[in-house]
Amino acid sequence: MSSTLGKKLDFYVLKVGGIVVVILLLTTGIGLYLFLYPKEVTDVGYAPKQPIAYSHKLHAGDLQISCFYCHGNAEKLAAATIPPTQVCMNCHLVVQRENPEVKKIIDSYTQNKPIEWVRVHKLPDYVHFKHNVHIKAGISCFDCHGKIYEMEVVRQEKPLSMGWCLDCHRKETPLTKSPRVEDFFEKAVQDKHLYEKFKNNMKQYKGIHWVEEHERIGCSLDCSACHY
Amino acid sequence: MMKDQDKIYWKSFEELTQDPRYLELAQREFMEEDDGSDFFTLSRRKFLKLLGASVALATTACRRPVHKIFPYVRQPETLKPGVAQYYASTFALNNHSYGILVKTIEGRPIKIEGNPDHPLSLGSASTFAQASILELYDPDRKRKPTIGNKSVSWDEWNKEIISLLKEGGNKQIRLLTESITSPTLRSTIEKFIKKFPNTKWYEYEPISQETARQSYQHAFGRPNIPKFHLEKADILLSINADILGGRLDSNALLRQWANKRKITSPKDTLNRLYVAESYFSLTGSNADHRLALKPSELLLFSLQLAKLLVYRFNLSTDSNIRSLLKSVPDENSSSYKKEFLGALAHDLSKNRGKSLVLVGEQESLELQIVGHFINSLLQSYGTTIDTKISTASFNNGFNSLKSLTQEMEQGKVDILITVGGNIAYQTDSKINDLFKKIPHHIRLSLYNDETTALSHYAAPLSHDLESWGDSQPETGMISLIQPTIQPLHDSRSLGEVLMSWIHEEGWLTELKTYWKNHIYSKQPRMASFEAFWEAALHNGVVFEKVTGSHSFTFKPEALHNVMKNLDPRFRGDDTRIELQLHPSYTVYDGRFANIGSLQELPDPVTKVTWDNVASLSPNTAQKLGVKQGDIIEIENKIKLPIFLQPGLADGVITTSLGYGRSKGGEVGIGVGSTVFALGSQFQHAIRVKKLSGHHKIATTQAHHSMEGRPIVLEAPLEEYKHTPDFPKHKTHTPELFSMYEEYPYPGHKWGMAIDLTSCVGCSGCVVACDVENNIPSVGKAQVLKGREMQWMRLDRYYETSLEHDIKTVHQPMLCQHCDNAPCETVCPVAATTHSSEGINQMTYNRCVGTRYCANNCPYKVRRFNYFNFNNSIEYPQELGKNPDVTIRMRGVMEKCTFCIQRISEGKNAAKMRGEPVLDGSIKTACQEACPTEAIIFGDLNDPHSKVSKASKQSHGYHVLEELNVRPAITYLAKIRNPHPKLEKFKI
Repeated sequence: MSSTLGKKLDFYVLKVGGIVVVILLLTTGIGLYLFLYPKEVTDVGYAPKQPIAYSHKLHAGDLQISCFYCHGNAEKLAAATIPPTQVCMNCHLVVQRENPEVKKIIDSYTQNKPIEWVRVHKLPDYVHFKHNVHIKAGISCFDCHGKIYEMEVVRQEKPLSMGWCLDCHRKETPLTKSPRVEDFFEKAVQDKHLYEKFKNNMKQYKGIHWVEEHERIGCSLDCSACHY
Repeated sequence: MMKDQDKIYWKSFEELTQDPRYLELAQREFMEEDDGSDFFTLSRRKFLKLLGASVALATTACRRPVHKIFPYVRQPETLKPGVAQYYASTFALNNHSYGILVKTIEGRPIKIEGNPDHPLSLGSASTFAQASILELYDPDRKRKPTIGNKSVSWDEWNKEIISLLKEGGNKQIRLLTESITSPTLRSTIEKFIKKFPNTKWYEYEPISQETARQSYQHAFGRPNIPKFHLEKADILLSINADILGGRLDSNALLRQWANKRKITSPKDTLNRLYVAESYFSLTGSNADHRLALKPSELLLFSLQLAKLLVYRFNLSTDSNIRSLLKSVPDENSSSYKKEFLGALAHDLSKNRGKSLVLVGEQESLELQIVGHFINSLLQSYGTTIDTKISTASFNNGFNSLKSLTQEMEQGKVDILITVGGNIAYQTDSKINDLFKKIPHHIRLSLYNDETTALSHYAAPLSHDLESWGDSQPETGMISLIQPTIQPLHDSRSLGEVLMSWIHEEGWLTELKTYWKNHIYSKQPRMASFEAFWEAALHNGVVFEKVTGSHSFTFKPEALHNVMKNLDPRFRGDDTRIELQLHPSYTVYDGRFANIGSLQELPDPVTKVTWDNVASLSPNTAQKLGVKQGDIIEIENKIKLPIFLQPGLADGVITTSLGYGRSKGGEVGIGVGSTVFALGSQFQHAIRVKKLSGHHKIATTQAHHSMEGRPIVLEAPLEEYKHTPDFPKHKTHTPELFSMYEEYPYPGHKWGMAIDLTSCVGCSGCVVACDVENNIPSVGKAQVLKGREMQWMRLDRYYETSLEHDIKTVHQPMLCQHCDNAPCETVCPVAATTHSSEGINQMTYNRCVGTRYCANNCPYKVRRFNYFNFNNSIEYPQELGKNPDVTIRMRGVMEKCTFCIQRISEGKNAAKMRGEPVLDGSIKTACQEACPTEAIIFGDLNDPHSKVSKASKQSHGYHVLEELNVRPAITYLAKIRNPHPKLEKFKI
């Protein structure tokens, strides 16, 4: 076959065929996206098995350990970060040393080997989310992570999609009824004395500012607020 | 090309002559024709294959990949994940060094900034210092010690070397290092010599201060080079000195110069810079008056100046000196040179004690001595020249190397140890033959370079960012080098290697001991050495009190010696071509040749990338019968392409060092040609032969043309004083209205002001932007197509209103963040939008690459990723990327973001503190790097911010104001300070 014919063929196949295929793919893609949105696409319900059967229900719910005891960076830095093994050892140096799950932590500590946690909440690389400013603005952990204190295994509760972010960023009225940090201590709320004590403690807690009303400061809708 | 009354501004000769090829290229969207490569043409078979694959991909369900998180077991106390930490360190190159701050994120250095507490940096870092971060992560660095071709461990290597050094006590050992400014290392080398007494130590730098030291020895009886105070000088003369660019200590000099160059009201005064030079330097491009001379004419020029000062202005009554200068011929012709000399001598004599003459350190001994003589006439010593403090300088030039080469020739050297530098590349090829005579050549280097190839035992040196050290740039000041990362490869620093050779304790202990004994002991009021050490590490610099000044009484014998056998030199021979060499502004003496970003950084004057070129004036080209892109051969040794350069004297060819590397990394090999083959001098009389063939020069000067609109505005000081708002009279802006609704900007409104008066065009901002924003280099072939990715460019315009005196304006050009941005309205997918704070934001993940925005941008500042440039990075380059900035992929448009990541960080920090954003707390990368503080960034909504005040100045203007795009960047028009006799002020 002469090369000119080949080139002509290439042209038709590329230009005409290409356009048709692209349109087809786009429509199917968009259809699939809409059909599945948001559950499968956004990984709501993703609850991978973790290397250690760590129970947030036990630690955060029953024992009422503050989120920031372990994820202290969340209120100071952009990244909430998973605590170093050292933090676990603060208690488990003496507590539950015989528990087979706790043994894994002790092993990590003694062997200087990091625990390979499986990431549950992940934003794409081109999104820059900052935990600290959201907490400062009075957003509770549970707004985005769900009722962690009831979870034996952590699962993704919210879609963490851009639309979902903007739902909140776009709201004109203050979110006064948003579940806040104190909601986590349901029992404490019922016990008035304990609640006051906790609240006062939290006020003194370095770095966190107790937000009485849910103030909405600098709720930006700019693309460059997150994408850069 | 643009016209402003009687002035013409132009970027290249092609533009000036309105070359049809240039006009065509300026009109076209793509600069080059498709070169016919089959990159995108698909065969039918291949197309069907791809089709199948994409269908298969589309039908496969996407499973979420499993991401793992590895928290620390024991977290270092000071580490904050994702938060930058800064460590004070020192950048040392040749005889110069200054303080830097190394920005690290999670233990990885990602950017270098100047140390504001270091007087030689004052917060800005040069192009070389900033690019040293790219050197650290260069994948071509040497990784393992080798014996012959075999990789070995350090222990084996050291064992071998030590047994070699020890066996047979009479072996002659020669140590050849690059310039070492570290006092500790110098003392350790002395220790090494004590242990192996048959050792002699040489230092070599191709760009050395050896002649300068000699000239001070001759003129004042003391070789030490004093420190200059440009901030005290009202009148400056630079004779090939390139004080504002080529010198490694330019950073501090630039700030000093620019502080006398700030205009805020018509009452202000400016300093005046005269430049006489034989190549077109950055300093020359910033001169108020510039005189282009041949290299051979410089000495006569300086003597004529001295004679004028002595005879016409009676600055010396010494009859001895008067009679010496009598024989100097006067400038008789009614030339520009005569006027220049007259005005200059007038200015200098009027400003005794407030003026300074600087002569290039590579110039001849005679010229430098005459420079010292003029300075002493002008009473500069003790005023603009420091008589107390001397800068670090060593005898490390070609002369000190001579005895070593002699010994090598005679076969007297048994063991040669070369450390750093690159002697095999930096000298002529004769030395390479000498290397073959040496039985044992031990080499320590960063790269597998030309010298390493000639060695028997080679080992990798650690980068300065990986090792401990110190450096003394001048008396009374010493700074520390601290590691900011573990060595990336199996490398060690010279200190570590020497310590293991002399069987002593570790290098850090040695460093601390030296500091304890020699520096701490002189410090008053420090509780303990540990406290002192911590403070020194934190500050990065320690000061010592310098007492007692040195006498700088000029010895007339020195001038006598200059005049003695000088006569033949007075007359330049018109028939021969003179070659003037100068260090490269981008790769220095070749040691940065493997850094793509620097190779691609346009030379600040010629705007040539990826090449060194033979620059010559159009007249010279005509005489030689060559045109742009032709190849010439110099002395049958060097082949260089012709580049037409305005502002050069006829009969001069200039080119830069540092190119034509044959080894030392993939990037630098084969770029340009080496001129070291001619020997160590910087000036030569040469024979030139034209060769056949044509060379494509990748110059960016004609890229992104703005088609003859008034873009740079300037005025002499007198005109500014007469009409402070002169820019408004130079542009004709009709009454502007917009069809779009105006944005409210309720919070911040970010903006920038760029002062063209103090911008010298050093390009530090471009490198800072490259490193900060993960901008890839694209290679020569892509630059030729106009596809360079730098977000920021420095436009250089020549102005020829006066025939003899070419003037230059440098203009940093970046995204103007227009309020009525033309790019925003044409984006079909809303990938580029306007933020509530006035930033023209670019959302990469939304961009589909139509490039409409780039077409519609009047400033030509948008860059398109034609290829996946970041895909080809290899370990360890990825470690050096800024994690706060997305790596862009192919098919995405990008541009300056006003360093949105820094704005975001600054705003969040303020939010966390519960305070408003303070003016000056957010700095863009370019602003931070600017040595002259020409770039000011801040909130225009805050009337008290620096940028608001600057933007409201009467000589501020917007580029292309008539388009009503309302840029957020205000340029402050360039104000020059010409001598009234040389340039008449017309109204």
